[in-house]
Amino acid sequence: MRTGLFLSRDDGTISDTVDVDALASAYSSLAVARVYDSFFRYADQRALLDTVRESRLDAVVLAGNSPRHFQQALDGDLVLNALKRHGINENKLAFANIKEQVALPHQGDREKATRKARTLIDVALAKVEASPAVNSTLLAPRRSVLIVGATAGGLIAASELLGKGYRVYIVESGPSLRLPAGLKDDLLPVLTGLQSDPRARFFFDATIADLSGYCGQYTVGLRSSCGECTFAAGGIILSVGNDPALVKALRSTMRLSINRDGLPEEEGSRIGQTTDPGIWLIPFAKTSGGLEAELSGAAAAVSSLTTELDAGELEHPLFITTIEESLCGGCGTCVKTCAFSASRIDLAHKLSVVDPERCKGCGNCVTACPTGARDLLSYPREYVSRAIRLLGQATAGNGDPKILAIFCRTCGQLAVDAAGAAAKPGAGPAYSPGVMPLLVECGGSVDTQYVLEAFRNGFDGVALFMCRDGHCHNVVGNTDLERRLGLFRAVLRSRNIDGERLRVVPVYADDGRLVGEELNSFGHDLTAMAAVGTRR
Amino acid sequence: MSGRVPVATTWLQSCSGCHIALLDLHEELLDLLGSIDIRYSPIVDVKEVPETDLGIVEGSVGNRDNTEMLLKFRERSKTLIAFGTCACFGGIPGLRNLFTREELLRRGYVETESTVDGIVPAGPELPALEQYVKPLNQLVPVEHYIPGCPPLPSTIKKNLVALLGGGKPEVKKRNLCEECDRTKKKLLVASRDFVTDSVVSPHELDNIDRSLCFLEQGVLCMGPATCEGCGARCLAGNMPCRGCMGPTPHALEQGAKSINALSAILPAGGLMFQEDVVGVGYRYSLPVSIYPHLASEVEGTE
Repeated sequence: MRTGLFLSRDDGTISDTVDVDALASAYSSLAVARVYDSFFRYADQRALLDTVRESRLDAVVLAGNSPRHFQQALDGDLVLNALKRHGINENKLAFANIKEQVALPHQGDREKATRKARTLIDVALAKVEASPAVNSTLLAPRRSVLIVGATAGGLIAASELLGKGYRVYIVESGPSLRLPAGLKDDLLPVLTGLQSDPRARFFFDATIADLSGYCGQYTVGLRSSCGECTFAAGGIILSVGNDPALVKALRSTMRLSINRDGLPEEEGSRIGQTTDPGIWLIPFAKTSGGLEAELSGAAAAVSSLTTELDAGELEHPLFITTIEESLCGGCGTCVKTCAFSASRIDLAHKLSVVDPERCKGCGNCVTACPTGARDLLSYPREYVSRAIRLLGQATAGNGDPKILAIFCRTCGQLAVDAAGAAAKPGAGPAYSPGVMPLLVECGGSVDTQYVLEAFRNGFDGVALFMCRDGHCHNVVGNTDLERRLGLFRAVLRSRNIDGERLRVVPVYADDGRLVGEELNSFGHDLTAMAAVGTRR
Repeated sequence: MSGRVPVATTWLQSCSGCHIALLDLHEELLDLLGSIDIRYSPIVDVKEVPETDLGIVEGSVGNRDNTEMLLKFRERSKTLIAFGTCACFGGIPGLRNLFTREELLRRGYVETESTVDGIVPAGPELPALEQYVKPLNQLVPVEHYIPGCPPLPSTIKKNLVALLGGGKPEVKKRNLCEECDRTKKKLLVASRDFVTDSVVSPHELDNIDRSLCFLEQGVLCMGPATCEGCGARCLAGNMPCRGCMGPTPHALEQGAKSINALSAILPAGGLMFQEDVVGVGYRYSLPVSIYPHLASEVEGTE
């Protein structure tokens, strides 16, 4: 494998604290190790991509901004897409977040920050090495769209989609249209247009009982006043208004971020984007401002969705769980732990089978599988174990307790990033350089083995930052973590390790300050605790 | 003597059950003796370990004498076999890794309820305890493993016959559910509900359903986190699996893996489990755990 390491100065934000040039020369054994002022300026990006091509790289580590920036900001998204076009498989691209997790929280401590950055780069290199390339499936997108919510935004979107030649299914959980009184008259022509078009169908008192597939080819199982039916849709537009109960129900079928009010939040670089491609949102906040806002919200969602669906062919990367059949005895644990009904047991062969149209790659079953037959493509078990070893061997602290901070890909990661970003210059570190960050897929990915490995590798404490109650993207990741927590602690106690050395902190995405405070108080508590190995 | 393969066997820290299982081959042992020549063994009166083709070692390594005997066997055997769960994973004696040597000796010789004026025996003729119990392969390379507490006589024979024929015995890799005939119902339903409301011991059930999965009857069974290979005899005998075959090869952590799995199946991960995580999850395999012993400031790590 030819791996390239690219470091960003981030126009000084990183290079003021981390000696990126020294790091680049430390990795001279790689195919390429280069430093750029920014990953997002055209000239630098051009040079980076030329290097990828000229050096015939097949794996890339980007040491700089948070991976979330690449998923959530337009300039980041452009870099990802360009790398993909240059032949870098999505799973052969890893990030070392040396900005939010090193340079920002440890300003003023160049030596330790640089050493910590080096460890995070080692971890990212381990990730591209241990992760297999992910396969994609090619599909022809269907020209039909499911619209959830017969709201003003939903109706406008439906009408625009008809105009673009799409078939629409409008699904409403209530018994009738949900239109604010002030807009009824304005929307009358839209409504008449929809009612008179045979390509538009309304369903009332309807719930989505089942959803499978992916962008371009979703299969929707619907229960409504006119019975049960199943239909195919290329994409989905959500216009659920102010209805947290409906959102909660939807979240058992699709991955949605929600805010503190339980309403869906946008994710990604574009207006109305959600976690899953092909599912777009008309955000409530943007539509409560009258017809104008409804129009623009609907137009954005329709335009984004049709851009995806108008392609003749869609590529969908299959980030699912893998099954090593020679290890599987068909015990059924994976069936019980999956929130998306993606696992079943083939009784004839006593083998577990994963449904790629339902699997969200959350990794709950990987943790639960008692034989190690299941693995996650995005965070293979071998990688996570190696990462814990590398982080444990690192010595970046000031003699402060060594804390392994494990956080989930969604709320946890955003909050940990926010903790670094909140650090003020000259105010001292946001938290100790002895805190070592480890990104995992979900709270449900926290395996008892990882907890033991952390302590085995010299950590004094493990802090888990996970979504708050009801906010887990994978619905049940936190539930599974909670179910295991008492046993994690019992296992630690049995080895003479205080169970309180494992701390779980539920966070919202913007809980940066809380993360900083928790890490500092945890460090303080760890120092006060009796040494590891003291008989209690 | 030509044609018969020279073999040596020994037991280290163990109960001798694996050797008894070998004798349990009964008449079939005579067939086996047609192709092997047991030159050294607890059942043969020879003082010095000879050079042999096959060295068969039962038991884990718990004291200095065990260590020396193992090293001797390794040096003088072309092929070394870890015979039984103690030799493969540390076994039940491995549970003492959660205590210091001092605690252990004091408990055994001084504090036991039936002891009066006990003293910890010491002297040059007694082998010193090693700090931790270890399976063979943590000290020397091992070519082949026959797990089980004890291994089935038929399994012992099958493995030896394969090795004698120059072949590779089959390595089992799946969990015990593969070999278990009990039916599963709730475990096959995609639902997040636990398979039972409560966790019970087998004796608390009025009637144990002989054909239904133990987990679905609320009885904690180690089958999912235990390697196949025993033919699920306990299950056929209407008792749940205790995990004696050890972990599957890709999950060298029976305790952690049972926590991961059972938490999704039984309420509170199995109440009994929470009370004695080690006794249930690591009964046979603590020395191969990721954290195989006490975290100890007193004795340091290894």
